[in-house]
Formats: sequence, C-alpha cells, structure tokens
Amino acid sequence: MIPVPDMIFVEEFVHLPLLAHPRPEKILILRGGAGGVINEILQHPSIEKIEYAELDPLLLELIRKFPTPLTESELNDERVNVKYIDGRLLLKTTPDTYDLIFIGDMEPSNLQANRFFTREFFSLAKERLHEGGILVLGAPGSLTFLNEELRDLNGSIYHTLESVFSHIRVIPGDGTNLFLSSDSPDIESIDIMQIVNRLDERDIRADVLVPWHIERKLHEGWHGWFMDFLEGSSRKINYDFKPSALFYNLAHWNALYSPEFGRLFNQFERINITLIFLVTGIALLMYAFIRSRSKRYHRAGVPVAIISTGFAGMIFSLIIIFAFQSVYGYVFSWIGLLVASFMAGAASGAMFITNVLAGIKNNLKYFRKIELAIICFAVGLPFILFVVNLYSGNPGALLFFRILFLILSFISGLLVGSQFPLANKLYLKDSAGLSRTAGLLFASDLVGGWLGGIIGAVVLLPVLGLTGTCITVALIKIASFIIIITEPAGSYKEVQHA
Amino acid sequence: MHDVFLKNVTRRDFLETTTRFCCHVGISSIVLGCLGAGSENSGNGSDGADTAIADTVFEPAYLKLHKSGELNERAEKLWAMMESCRLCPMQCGVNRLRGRSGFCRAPGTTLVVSSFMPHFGEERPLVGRGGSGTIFLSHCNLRCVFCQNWEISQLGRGSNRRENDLAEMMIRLQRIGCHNINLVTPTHYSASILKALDIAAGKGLRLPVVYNTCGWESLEILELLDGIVDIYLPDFKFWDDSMAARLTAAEAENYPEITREAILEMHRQVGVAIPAENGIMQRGLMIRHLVMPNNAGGSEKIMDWIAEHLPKDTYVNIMAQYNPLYKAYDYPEISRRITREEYQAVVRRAKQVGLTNLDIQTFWWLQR
Repeated sequence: MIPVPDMIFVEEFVHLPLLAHPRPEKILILRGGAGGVINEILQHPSIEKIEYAELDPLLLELIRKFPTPLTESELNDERVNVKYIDGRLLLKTTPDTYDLIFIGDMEPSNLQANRFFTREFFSLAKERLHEGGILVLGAPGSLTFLNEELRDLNGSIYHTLESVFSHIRVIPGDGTNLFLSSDSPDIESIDIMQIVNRLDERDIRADVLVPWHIERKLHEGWHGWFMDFLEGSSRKINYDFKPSALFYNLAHWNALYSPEFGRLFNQFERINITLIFLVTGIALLMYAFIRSRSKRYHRAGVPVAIISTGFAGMIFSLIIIFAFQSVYGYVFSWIGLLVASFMAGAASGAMFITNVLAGIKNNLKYFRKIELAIICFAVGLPFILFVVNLYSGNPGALLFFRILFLILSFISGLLVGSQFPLANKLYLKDSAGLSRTAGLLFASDLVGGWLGGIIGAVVLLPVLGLTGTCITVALIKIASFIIIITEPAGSYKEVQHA
Repeated sequence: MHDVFLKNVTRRDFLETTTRFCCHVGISSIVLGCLGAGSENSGNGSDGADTAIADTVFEPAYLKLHKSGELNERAEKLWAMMESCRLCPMQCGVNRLRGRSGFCRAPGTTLVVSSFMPHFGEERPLVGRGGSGTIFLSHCNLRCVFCQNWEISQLGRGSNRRENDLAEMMIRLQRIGCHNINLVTPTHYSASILKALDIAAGKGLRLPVVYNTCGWESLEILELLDGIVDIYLPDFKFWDDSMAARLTAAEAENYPEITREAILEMHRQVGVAIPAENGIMQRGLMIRHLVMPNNAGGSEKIMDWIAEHLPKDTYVNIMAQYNPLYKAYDYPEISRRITREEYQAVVRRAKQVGLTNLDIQTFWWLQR
C-alpha cells in the first residue's frame, strides 16, 4: 500500500522556501524527493531543472514498481533528472549551481545523515548556490515539549549554519523546524504579504499551504520564540569529523525514550582531552605507587599493553569506517572489506612475528617498538584522514582513497596482530603456564576491544571527534608504554621453546 | 527547559512592556475621556478608538469572583474533591490530598508543567499579534492512543510546580503581550488552576482564561467553573462509544455522552464565540474537531449534532492535521493520514447542516 503523502509537511517544506525565492529555476534535492516533494516543486512555473540525488536505487525501483499517479508524473517529468548517487558526492563533483538546495534528511540521526548538517557541507552547499540562493533543511522541533536536548540540537545546527551563512530564517514547527539559509537578507525580511502575492502570481494550488496557514507559519512572533528557545543552548559547531549534532540528536532520543540512560549519556559531554590526560596521569601514578609497594604487579605491563592495543585496534577500525562513510556517504557494502582488511593485517602481523620470533634476541625491544608504532599511527591517522576529506571532491582521488582506506585498515591490523605473539612469549614463564598466559592475554585483548567498541563509538567519537579520539588512543598507549619501559629488568623471563 | 521563556524578561522586554503599558494607559485615558465627553453630548464614541482599547477595557469573568472571594471558595471546593478525586469523569477516587496518583497520574496535588510560552499556532482569534499564552500541563485523564503531545500527556514530562508558580507564569505571559491564558489539558488540575488564578488576579491578571480541554468534563466541575472561564476550547473527538473506548487509555465509553453534555453546559456559560473588533477572541465556546481517517471520529454525526443543539454560528474548527503518532500504528484504522476527500466530506456536511462559523484550515481542499 502506498502511504498517503504527508502533504501538510511536504507543502511547507517545499513552498515556503520556493515562495521566499523571487524566481526559482534550478533546484537540487538531496534525498527524499519522490512521493510529493518534486511534484510540489514542479508547480512553480519558473522551474527549469530539478536534479534529484537518491543514494539507494532500490527505493526508486520500489516506487516505480508500485506507482501512484503522483509518483508517475513527477519522476517522468522531463525537467527532473534522477541520479543514484550520494547527495554530498554529487554536490562535490557537479559544476552546476542552484537556486535552492533541499536536504531530505530531517535529523542528524546517524553519521550518514549528519554529513548533511556539518559546517563542511554547508560551505560546499554555499558554493553551489546562485546569488540569493537558499539552502533548505529540517531538524527535529516541537512547539510543546521543549527539552534541553532539543534546544542543544537546534542550537548546534543553528550556530553551524550561522558560521557559514549570513542570513537564517527559522520556521518552528511541531515535529520539524525548517531552516532557510542564504546570503541574501531577503530571506529574513520576507513577509506574509509577499509570500501570499507570489502564491497568487504563481497560481499554486496547494492543499494546506493557503494564506491562512502561511500566516500562521510565518507569524512574526515565531522568530523571537525560537531565539528565546535557543537562549543558553549549545553553540558547538558540527563538523564532519566531530559530529556534535549527532551527539545531541542521540541525547534527544534518549530524553524521549530512555531518560534514565539519557542522564548518564548527557554527562559524557563533559569529557574532554584534558580530563582524559588527567585521568590517565593519575592512573599511572596510582599504578606506580602500587608497584613500589608490591611485587605482584611487576608484570602488569604486558597485559595492560594488550588491553590498550585491543582498545586502539577497535577504535582504529571504527575511525576508518566512520571516515569512509563521511567521505563516500555509504559504508555498509564496504564494512566487510574494511574489517577483512584489518583481519588480514592482524593475521599477517601475527604470522610474520611468529616466523621470525625464533630469531629475535630481544623480544622486549621489539614489543616496545610496536608500542611506539601504534602511538605514531594514532597520531598520524587524523592527518591522513583530513587530507583525504580535503581532496574528496576529486573523482580520481576518490578511486585511490578506497584503496588507501583498505591499506590503513590493514596497517592497523598489522600493528595489533604482531604484538600479540610477542606478548605471549614475553609473559610466559614456563611451559606449564601456557594456557594461563594465552587465556589472560586473549582476555585482555577482548576486554580492550570491548571497551574500544563501546566507549569509542558512544562517547569518544561523538564528543571528542576523530582527532580527539585519536589523541585519547595515543595518550592511553603512551601510558602503557611508560609502564612497560619502567618495569624492572628481568620481569619477563624468556623461555626457549622445546 | 520549561523555563526558557522565564529568562525572557530582559531589559529590552521590560522597556517594551513599559512602553506598551504607557501607550495603553495613554490611549485608553484619551479614549475614555472622549467617550465620557461623548456620552455627555450625544453618546457617540469613536469606532477606531474602540478597536484600539478592546484589549484593555476587557474584564475577565473571574475578576468579579476574585473580588468577592468566591473564586477562592470554589478553589477550595475543588481542592476538597481531591480527597476522593472526582475532578474528571473517571472519578477514580484516590486521595490526592495524601499525595496519591490516580488514573491521570498527576502526583497528588502537585502541578506538573511542561512549558509555558506565547504560542502562534493556535486558532487565529486566540493568537493575534502577541500569541496565545499557552501553559502546557503534564499528564492527562483521557490519554488518546494517537496523542501528538504524548511526551507530556502520557510520559508526564515536566517539572513540579505549586500554585504560586502557575500564577507567576500567567502574569509573565500577560506581561509579554499574550492575548489570553491558554491552559492545555487542565481537567485534572482544576483546583490548582483556580487557586493560581485567584493569586494572579490579585497581582493584576486581566487576560481571558482559555480552558483547552479534551471535552470529557464532569458537569459538577463545569458548574464550579461558571463565571471563571471566558473561553471554552473543547475537543469533540469521537461520536461512537466503542471508538472512544478503543482509542483512549481511559476506555472512555461514555466520552460522547459526557462531552455532549459538557459542551452544552459550556455554551450555556459563555455563549457563542464572537471576536472583539480587533479580531481577538475574549469570550465564548470554540469547538475543535479533528478529522480522523476512516471516519474514526464520526465527524459528520458530530457536525449534525452541533447544528441541531447549538446556534448555527457556533465556532467550529475542523482540523485536518491528523498524524498517526504515538501508538496509532497499532490501530489499523487510524494508522494513516486523512485524504482530501475525507476532509472535504466533513466540511461539506458542516455546511449542509447550516453551520456558518467554520474555521476551515484547508480551503483549497474544498476547491479541487
């Protein structure tokens, strides 16, 4: 069954911005155009061309398979050009400019969607707008339930837009707040009479968006209302590699559906690099104190290194997946490959070290070198990824970058994998302790990976962003490195294999 | 959160309010002077000036009862009813005075307020320029499965307040230029509301009170509100008993019957809603009806009943914005939006039966 189109929302979303523009000709829709939006846009007589980017071809295939008169006419109109491509990629690669750009994602609910709410994206959209052009996007809104999370989410989006565009008009709504952004001041000054006149001139036959309704949506009181609502909100800018809006969106969902967890989740926002630095430092000092008192913990260095390496490995994987999605707009078909590449790296590293292990005289020295290499990788990764993001508008580079992502994944696997056999060998005291050592270190690896998966994905990446997360990994690895280099000589007895 | 608009009273607002107040006083004294002079001469006032002072000369119903002390007495009567609570037709009988929560989930006698603010999306005669001074009260005694404010009504989000706080909110809303005090879902807090109103009236509140209710109200309570509420804004949601029972947590089979009686009583108290000359509503009955898919509300029968039992110029807002929210997807018949034809049919019937004061949001739906 084809759902009844949400005409009330579609008409507001389409007509208010189009009526705010004196003569819209070229339109770009990034996702969500079929099923009403295109049809409404086509009602404006000045429209010459609509480009419509939809990432998933299956969606449109489904719509064509179960057509309604509305979808038939809108998708077959000769002015409409459908492209199966990520909207952001299209915007990066197209030489065209537009009068209006519509974003079909209505909330930064995941990394894929958040890419349409970041400062980088807004700057790109601005470059692709004609003079007086308008970027149109929606974000969660409510006229009744105004919680702090919603306020911060809207604050972050508003201030991110404000950092790029000189004029923003917000039209608050129940469900969705509309943001119209432009470099033309008209957008803020346009009033009900002008809009109604244009509605009349263009002979728009809207179902819902009639003068009465326009008056209600554009009531002059709403501007003050929204600014009051934002008072004291977050001013954090939403970046590709530091998705604050995503964090607030998650917080908003928590506030609605899981307020108990939400209270804890909201505290995560307080986390910052200084705090992590302090906590790591204090943990180190505490460990030093304990070690000076008791001999039992002299050999903690290796398990700690393995826990932190497991942590680092998981976070490297997450970051690579995150960055891939941010650059390409899709990732699900590639997650398998990226993870496989990491695993291949880990296996190669382990095999290589195992093969050469017999010939290695000083295991500890190699172990420390690998520790250092992981720290360097954590510090270097953000630089590489920022350069990748910078050149992601270049089709040739994009082709190469995919391989680069696989290589990065492979290297991180290699580092993690090669440390493990060395750790086992270092930690093993005698042949009797074989299974105990293997068990302990494998468990350490898993604990680290588990921590990395949970903390990395839920706390570090959304709050600290990519760079902050990498710095965190580096700090933790430096701590484990300090532990291992300060351990008294002879802590690890190297047993020759029989 | 709920206080976002409390911070509103900045220096700028203060200056603005003061200026507005001075203007009002200035204009009204001039006009009153003219009127006084006019009545001495021939009794002719100035039409234009009447419009300008419409807001200021208005005297809300509750003011008289406040002055006579009856407002407080009524509040106490309602308050006493919470001992074995019968503030709503559910009459669940818990002792709210001892802090118990009844069916409505309101925590004893404590008020829970979600937010308060000028609202610009209500009926046009309530919004005007300054907005409708809306106070969203948390929890609900009916709890429809398709509620669009489910965060507030069903989850009860909001913060605990006392009568003094509520009075303060009313005064603030008046100060920032709202045209009325719009109490959303007031039924289970009527006692607190009256107490707050008494306090606020003492502090200078002069705005009409809008009783924005689901319509499911006991006659006993409504009679106590007589002479206090200026604008009744009830919903008339369902015509069929079975639908009312199916689509509300209260399983309110008696919703249609009780609401009919309630609306008649409301009309008896405040009469037909006719806006003042400046377009702002100050007194009267404004009925809301939300058109639902598959005629789940029994819209046409509701229109028939209104036309038969109330004056033809009764204000009826036929609303088209039904959206399947909250648990609506669990009920197949209401799991979609309405079609143009469904909406048209209701308006057509309303016109057929002679209703003349229709608030029809979606005019073009009728033209196509």
